[in-house]
Amino acid sequence: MKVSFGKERRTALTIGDRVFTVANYLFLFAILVIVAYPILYVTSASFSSPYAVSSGKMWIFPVDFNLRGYTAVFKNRQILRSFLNSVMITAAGTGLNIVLTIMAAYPLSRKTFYGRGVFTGIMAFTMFFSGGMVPTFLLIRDLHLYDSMWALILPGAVGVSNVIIARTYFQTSIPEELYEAGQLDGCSEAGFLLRIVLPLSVPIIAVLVMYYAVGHWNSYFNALIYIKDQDKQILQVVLKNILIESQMMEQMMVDVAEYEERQGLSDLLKYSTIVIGSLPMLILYPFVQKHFVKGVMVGAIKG
Amino acid sequence: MKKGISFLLLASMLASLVAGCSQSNDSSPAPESSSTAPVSSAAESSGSESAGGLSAEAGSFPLTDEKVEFSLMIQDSATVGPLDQNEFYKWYEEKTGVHINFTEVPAAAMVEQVNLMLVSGDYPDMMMCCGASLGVTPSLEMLYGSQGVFLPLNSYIEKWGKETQEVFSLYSGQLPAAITATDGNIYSLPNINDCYHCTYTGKLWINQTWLDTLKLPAPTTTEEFREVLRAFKNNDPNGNGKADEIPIMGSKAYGSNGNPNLFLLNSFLYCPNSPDMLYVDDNGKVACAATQPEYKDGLAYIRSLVEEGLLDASTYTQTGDQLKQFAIDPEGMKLGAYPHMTATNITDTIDNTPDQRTKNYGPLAPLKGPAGYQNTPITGQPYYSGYFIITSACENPELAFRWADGLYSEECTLNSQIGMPDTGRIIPTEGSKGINGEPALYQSIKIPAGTDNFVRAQNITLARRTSDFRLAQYVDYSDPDYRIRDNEVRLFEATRDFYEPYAHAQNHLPDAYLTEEEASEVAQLTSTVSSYIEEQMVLFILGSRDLDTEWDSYLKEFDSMNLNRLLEIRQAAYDRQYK
Repeated sequence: MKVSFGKERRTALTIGDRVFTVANYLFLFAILVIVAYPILYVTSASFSSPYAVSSGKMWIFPVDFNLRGYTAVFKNRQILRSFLNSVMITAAGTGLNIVLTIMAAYPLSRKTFYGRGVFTGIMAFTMFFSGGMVPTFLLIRDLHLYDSMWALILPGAVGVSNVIIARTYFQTSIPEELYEAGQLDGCSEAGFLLRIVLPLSVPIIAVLVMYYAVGHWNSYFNALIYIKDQDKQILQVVLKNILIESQMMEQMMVDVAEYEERQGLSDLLKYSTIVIGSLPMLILYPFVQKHFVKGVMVGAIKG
Repeated sequence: MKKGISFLLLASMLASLVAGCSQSNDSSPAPESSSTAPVSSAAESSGSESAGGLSAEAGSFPLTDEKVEFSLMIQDSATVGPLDQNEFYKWYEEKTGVHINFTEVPAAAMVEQVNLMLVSGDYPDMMMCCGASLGVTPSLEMLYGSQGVFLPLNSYIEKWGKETQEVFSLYSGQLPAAITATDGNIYSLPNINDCYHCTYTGKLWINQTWLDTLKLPAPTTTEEFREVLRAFKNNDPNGNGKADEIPIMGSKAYGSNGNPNLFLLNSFLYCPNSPDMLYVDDNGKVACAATQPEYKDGLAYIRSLVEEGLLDASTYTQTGDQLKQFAIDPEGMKLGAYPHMTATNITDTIDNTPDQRTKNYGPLAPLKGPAGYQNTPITGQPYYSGYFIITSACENPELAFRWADGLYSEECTLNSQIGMPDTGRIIPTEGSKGINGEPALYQSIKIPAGTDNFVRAQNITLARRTSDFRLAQYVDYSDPDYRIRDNEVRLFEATRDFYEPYAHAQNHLPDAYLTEEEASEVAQLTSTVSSYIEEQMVLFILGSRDLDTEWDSYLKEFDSMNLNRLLEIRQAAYDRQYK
């Protein structure tokens, strides 16, 4: 097998190198298949009839192509409403996360900031110790955040690990000389952060957006505990309710008609809601992807 | 990421601790009327015997002239739309004068929510959501009942419980004893859902078409059954020239209903449908089926079916979806028999498969074993305890109780479970028949899957669904396939003709109220014993352990698990309540 490597490569490849390269490509391709197949399967299943899916007729491309699953999703007010809630919480939550994280990380990155070791230590402490579920629940309730979307946004508005990543990025990629130059030209502290640091920090902001947005979108437990009004519920909880509850019924085994109805609902909606539920993150990723690798690497190699 | 994972771990650890901690945490909070508690305009009347604004007679409506509000914690069901728009609750509000503020909690979060709510002291006025399987266990009732958080209902039942008393008289053998706590109080009302066909378990569905093709009669003994399975395997009953038939197959899903063990073992001894395999022997002693010599014979029989390739070994490893995929294979019918509670769960409903696959399968009555024994194990009970609770936050518990009591009436049960007249159900015409052949009481109107349901609040609302009520469902007997298309009919007839006649009901061990210490000890012992039985059963059947040489060491292991202690406690509780 001949492998071409571009003209500038002069060094001849040994047989071992070639074998390695081929094996490497095969290996990576296998991983690609493993990762891509479930996505393809779910997408195809969402366009197929439930019978084709459960009988195994559909295994790669849609069989009995139809849009019934999607029609049902768009008719179901609960799913639509919770989808919008999730979008709102993700957008608002991520926005707040970014602002607060940068406001925390930037001072900590400056050598002139008094007591930054102490502050970092205090923040890091919360990574390892927390009050636990019941005290947190009581706190949320007494703050009157219970049954409010703020309960999903305000606690954890700053992720300490993300602050540390951002701080490291600022420390390593914004040279001190730049600050001095800015000062000479009469730039204020705030001006320096807004006009110089932020434009230079797009990679890390992209990384933070991705981390936080995915976190918000996939979060489930907090909504389960803190939200009681169905109008405020988020998509993941509603999804779980539809998909998992039909299994719980099996144990109760009491009501065949009800069971079949739930089974039908779950069969009909399962794959289309999974597709719709993962779509926003799939759409978001390409926009931050070009910065993503660079941003993640910064935190990884320099301490 | 790390933080997320550690928080998750921490949260799940704490969640499991909540129940344990609650006793010490919750000694202080006296029920405070917090700002979220609804304002009851009839507050001043609470406690006094003759309440102003309350209508005086038990069972008369409206319950109150002034508008009263209660908060209610209730299960959020995937098949019921938001309850504040539900027609049944609107109708019931008009009828009673009581307005309800709903807190809907998904079933998956129920156990956590109940515990958080109890620990935080922020109670709703009423809970109608959980039952023992979703957090409100008898011992939890005892705990919070003794602290005054759950109100004892005895006096209300006596004074206002017209419908509740009727429920008790319908099931006088079990109620109210089974829901009375050991301190003599009743802290919760039970939900009544008396499912006739669910009571008789261990059903097996056999391919009638193949039996007809091969001109075989339905097998009646374990050895005839083996011959039939051999014929299924070797004589190409689906006629495609390939030996692609599997005589019998199940799955690891659906608990004991998923594999044929329950069906087959009951040809040897009374093998109950509960993981701990406890039953009452003919002398009134609680015993464990998994230690009996007949159980060993039963396992040897099942093992021989597996060895011969008649019972497919993947039964013990595959999922329910995998079994279904094989059962409804579009290429053709390949499955000879399968165990399940409902036939359609595996072969799908009649109209979902092009060849109406499920029509080919019919019930098979319990087989006679070598000693001539045959049995259908029974399970479950008609009532679900812990279903409706009034908490100390409620300022007018008398009215709250009367509100709940009314839900037991036939009219309310019809409207909540089947649907409001015209939108949720049709009143059948004169002369139409129900499942059991008696005059039909109702015909439900189907709501297309995926659209919000506002016409009924089924399975989450307290109701009295007796067996007669359930079987009064209208059946369209003009449909030539009514027996298959209406699954309730199919299961009713199968149970009546094939399973109920063989049930040794006297061997069933019913649930009995346990004290708190007993309950926690039983829970521990049961879980160890159950998982050992389940695991060893599969090992013996698949041949990983040898029945002849390792049976004694298998039995010995039960001593170290303290099975005798479990039997002792269950025996004492059984004697207390049923002797």
